[in-house]
Amino acid sequence: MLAFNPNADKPIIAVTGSAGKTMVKTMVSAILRERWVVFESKDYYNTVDKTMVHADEISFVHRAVVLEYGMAFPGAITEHCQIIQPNIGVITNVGLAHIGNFEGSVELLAAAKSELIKAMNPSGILFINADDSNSKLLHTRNYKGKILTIGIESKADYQAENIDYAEEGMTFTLILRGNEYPFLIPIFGEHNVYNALLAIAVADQLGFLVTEMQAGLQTMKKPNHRLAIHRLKEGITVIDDTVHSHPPAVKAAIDVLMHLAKNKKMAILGSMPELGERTYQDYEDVGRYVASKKIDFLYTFGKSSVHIGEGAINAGYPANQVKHYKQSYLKIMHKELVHSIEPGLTILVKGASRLNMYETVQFLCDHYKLE
Amino acid sequence: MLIGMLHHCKHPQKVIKAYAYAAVAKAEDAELLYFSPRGIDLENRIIHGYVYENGNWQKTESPFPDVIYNSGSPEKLDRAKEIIDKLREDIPFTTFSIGNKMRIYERLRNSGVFSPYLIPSKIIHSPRGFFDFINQYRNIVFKPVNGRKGQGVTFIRRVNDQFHLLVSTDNYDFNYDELRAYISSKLQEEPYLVQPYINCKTRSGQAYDFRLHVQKNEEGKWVITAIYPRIGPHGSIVSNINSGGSTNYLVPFLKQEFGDNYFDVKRYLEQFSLQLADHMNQLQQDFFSETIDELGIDVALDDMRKIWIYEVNWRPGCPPAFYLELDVVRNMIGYAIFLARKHQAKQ
Repeated sequence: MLAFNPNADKPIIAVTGSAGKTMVKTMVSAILRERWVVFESKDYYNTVDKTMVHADEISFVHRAVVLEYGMAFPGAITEHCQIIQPNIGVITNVGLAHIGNFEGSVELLAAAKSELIKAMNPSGILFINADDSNSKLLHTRNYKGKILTIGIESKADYQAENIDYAEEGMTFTLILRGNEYPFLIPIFGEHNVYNALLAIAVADQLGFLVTEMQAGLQTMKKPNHRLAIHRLKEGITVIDDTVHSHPPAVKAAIDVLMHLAKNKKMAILGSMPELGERTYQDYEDVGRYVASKKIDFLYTFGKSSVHIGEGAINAGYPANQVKHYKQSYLKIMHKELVHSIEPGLTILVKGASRLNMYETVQFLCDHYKLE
Repeated sequence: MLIGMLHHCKHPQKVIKAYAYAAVAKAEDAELLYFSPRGIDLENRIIHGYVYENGNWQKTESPFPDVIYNSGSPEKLDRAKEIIDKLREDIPFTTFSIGNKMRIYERLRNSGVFSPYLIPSKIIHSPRGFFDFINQYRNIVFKPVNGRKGQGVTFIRRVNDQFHLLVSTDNYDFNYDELRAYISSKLQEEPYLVQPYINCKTRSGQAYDFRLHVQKNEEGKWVITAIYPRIGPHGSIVSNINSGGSTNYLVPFLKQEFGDNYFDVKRYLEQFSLQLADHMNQLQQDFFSETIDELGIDVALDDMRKIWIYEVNWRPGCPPAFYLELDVVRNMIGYAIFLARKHQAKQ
């Protein structure tokens, strides 16, 4: 069977995985638009219903299609692929999002994500993350097409080095066919370097130039409420990350907090609604992470998030620096927050969109508005 | 054989191309009579106009011409519509306006034959519709529905949360609020449409497009006057010559871009031009029982070598280079004579 040829067939790129789907989709589209007219699904339009809508919207004018395939339940990705079969597949990572729907088993989660490998064009190109240990559980062995990897730690086809935090975002060096290329992406977090690597890898396979990748990533629209930085008065900084929440994403957001904060740090962490039975150990694990980073104030919000505090305290974090609020106590939390906030503080607000923690961001932005 | 050249300007001195038409008419054994609507005397079937004699435009009184090349602005000529319509009853005209960009687009799309080549175009009614469109396509073209010769064509590119605009040769950087205000004010002036910008780049990364210029000849058949690339300056997404770009002869350009395949691409562009012109002519016949004589088709060629139609211009004017001015005039005069003979034969 002939390999997929982007100069003869329309590239249809489907992005799935536990975290980073929307970001990779945004980044791939940003690069491809340097040259092509691209159909890009709207943010969070990743259900099977939406894929049916997209099938109608895609037209001959689109030179490439970039879609996000969500997998809230087993069989979902197979259904997506039956509606629109991708010839390029991207699996960002295999984390614990939605594990509640998979009997709490990472293997079952990996199997569900592997549906993409089975249902996409068998002579297409598949991209996976070599640094993600759970991605090794993906069923890649029988795939007939091309499999390419990205990585920072592990050796990979598309490798990044010298990852660093800059004022405007992340910088890194791309190693490509023995050459080194500098990159700057306008968003924070090491996880976003992985996302950028996936986008770069897709673009490279489609024949795009490094200059187009650099330019495209610069033009990408920054997603709202995803590690968005608000600089407020008295040197107070708020990091708004109020869309999704699961353990790796919380840790990644804490890393961004650690890198951006010059003085004291506060984390306001919401409960993680889709964790299933692994709840306790995952919450406590996040708590231990907070303790290990010596964050100055820990606020938790929403019923289950109380276990984050417990995990932190068990790991030696001072109990008087932990405060917990139920979801109905939002206003009270806001009132009390103000007492802890001092000039120069950097505050991370992290929680799933259904907790509406953006209200907390909005409250802080109004309260400490720059004159 | 007397060819009338109808123009809204009273005196031919102001219409530079009139000289070329008069000269070529003479060389083709015909006479050119220049006139404006005010010179038409329907009652006595006389026209007060000008002929070029002995190095000057001479005032003259003449019987009706055998054919009329209707030049000048359709809007300005429209004021004398009744008189011109009377002339049309007796005398063949070389061409008729094919309507504004959106009408042409819709006519082509509805007829289906060329719809797969049309770049989607959408009339914008509100800033909200505008932003939906630019968020989907990122690089877009924003232009007046009734614009001519590239007037008011604006290229807009979203970069992060900023917007770069290129309006003819001027660059602007707007934020969301500024662009919203700009679009709002434009929409109040006249109707606008938007299109995704099809990126057609040379090997060295310069944006370009093709102008396909076709005319009818002395046998009433479509011929290619010229096909030429319009190449944008480095770093610009725009191929507009007015914005610092350039042009080139077709064959060396195609050889440079397509190597050994240049001939296939050339044939493809030529065949496409002639077929589209035929189709446009057929549509004009079907809808209005009218003919057209000259079209300028702006197309992009994507990386899969598929043609995309930006717009079809009626009577596009002379290409800006290659000494084609006389070829355009010669085809026109030849076609005018053809029409006149056909009309005479019918009677």
